[in-house]
Amino acid sequence: MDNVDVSERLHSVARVADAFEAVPGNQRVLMAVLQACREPQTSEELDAIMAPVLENNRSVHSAVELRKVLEDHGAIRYVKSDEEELAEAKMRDAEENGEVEVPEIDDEGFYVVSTPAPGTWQLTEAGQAYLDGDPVGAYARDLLETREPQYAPVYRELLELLSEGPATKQEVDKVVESNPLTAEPRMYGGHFVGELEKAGAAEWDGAWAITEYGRTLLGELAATGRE
Amino acid sequence: MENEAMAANMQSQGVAGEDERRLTEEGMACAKSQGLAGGNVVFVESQVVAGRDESCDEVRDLADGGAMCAEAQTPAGEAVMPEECLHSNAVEDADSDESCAHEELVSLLAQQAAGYELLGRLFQREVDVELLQSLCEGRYPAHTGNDHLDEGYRGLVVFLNHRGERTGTELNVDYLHVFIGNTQDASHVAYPYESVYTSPDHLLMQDARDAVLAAYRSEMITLVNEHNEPEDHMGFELAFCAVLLRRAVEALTAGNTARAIELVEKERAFVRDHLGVWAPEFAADVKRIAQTGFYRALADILLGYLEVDTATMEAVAAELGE
Repeated sequence: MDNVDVSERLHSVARVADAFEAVPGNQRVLMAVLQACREPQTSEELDAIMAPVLENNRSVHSAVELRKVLEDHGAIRYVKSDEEELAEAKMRDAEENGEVEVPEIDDEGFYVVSTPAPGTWQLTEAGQAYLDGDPVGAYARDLLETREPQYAPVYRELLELLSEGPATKQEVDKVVESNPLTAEPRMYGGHFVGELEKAGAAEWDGAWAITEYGRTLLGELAATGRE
Repeated sequence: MENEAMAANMQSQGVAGEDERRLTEEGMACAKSQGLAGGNVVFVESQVVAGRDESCDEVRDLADGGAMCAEAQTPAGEAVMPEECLHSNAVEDADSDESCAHEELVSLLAQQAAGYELLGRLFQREVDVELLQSLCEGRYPAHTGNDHLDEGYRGLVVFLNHRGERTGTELNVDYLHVFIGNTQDASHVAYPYESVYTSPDHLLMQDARDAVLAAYRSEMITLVNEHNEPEDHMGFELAFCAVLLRRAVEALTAGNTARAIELVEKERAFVRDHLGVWAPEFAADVKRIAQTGFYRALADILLGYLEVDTATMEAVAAELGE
């Protein structure tokens, strides 16, 4: 039984990870939603959290669609407010009884268009487990220890550059292309800064900038001497 | 027409009283925020000058219509037509009665136009966030005296009351599903073109389109349409009615009753010869195909609005002819 539970749990966490594959390029905003949903958030509150992250994102997906991706992958769930539950129950009752649902009518004979209190988005168990698994750190570890350990010096140089202040694409290219490791095969700045962005270590805000996690990663790279 | 009859007509539209004002405001909002004023889908005055001596400067009628809409209200958004106009006392002097009746007609025509603008907009393209919000702020009478309107308003409010954050997306998907089609099976699409419904082979750009185009040109109106849709699109035909009524308002305001009568008669003829011919079958298809209550309700509202408009304009024509 325990094995089944563990298997289901792993499967559900893997589904959450799949959400990030379903909408590539949206890692930051998806992570922002997951982090925010540790506490219940209304759609409006999430919009406010997601808007600045999406500002420089060329994604065709809206905030609403991205939330649906996370919901479909079992990472978050929408918990209806009492008023929303009531409205749904009313509709369900009408359907079950074969009746036509009639909205409330005010004193002047007009239908009342209601605006129920909003429900909240909350992290699911799978979403919580995914976050607990340190997905950001896992991506960076996979990148630097498994996929591209040979380029760790390049990543470190790049992070050092960004730690001094926001850098333009040309400045990023200059650092990357001046490193002999990127000469053969030829590698460009876009690849490295893109990977750092996916790892949550860099972000674009008119220029490339280091994140708090990026500073931590830089510290780890320096401390472990991965060169 | 008796004032009572006029009032009854207005009441029966289901857009009477405050609701008319709401629709009028929405009509303006549509014209401004939905791209009508921005030249997305508008009528412009044609360069054809025959029959009229006005300047042929391009006039974006729907946008102008929105402005006229605003003039039909007080700054506070209250209807110009006061309640006493609907129930004027016989002992009041004749001038006052005449003035009230005139204002009443102007207000009524402006309200009808606003309703057509809103309906036209809803059929022309998908509902966006602003329009959805505007619809949520509308007031919809529960009992209008017209079965289609009653059912349409009920369905619309039920839909709006169950809206969620994905409602906009659902409506966009349903618009595509109903009016554009994501299937090869034509019976599963309600193509919003008169030609499709009136030509023997259900084809686009048939006689109906030519007739509609002629009607537009008779008013020196050219469709400026970035989407290159045929002129007999439901949204455009409804918008054309709005333009005719806006012009009737303009004529009445300028004291040109003869021109106002001409425009009202044109509108009546257009509804009778075009919209009235194919709207019932089209609306039935929309109700059959739509997956959201919104478009099913819109189909009912369309039918109800045309029915009420037919009766209202008959009364208006009689009043103007007196």
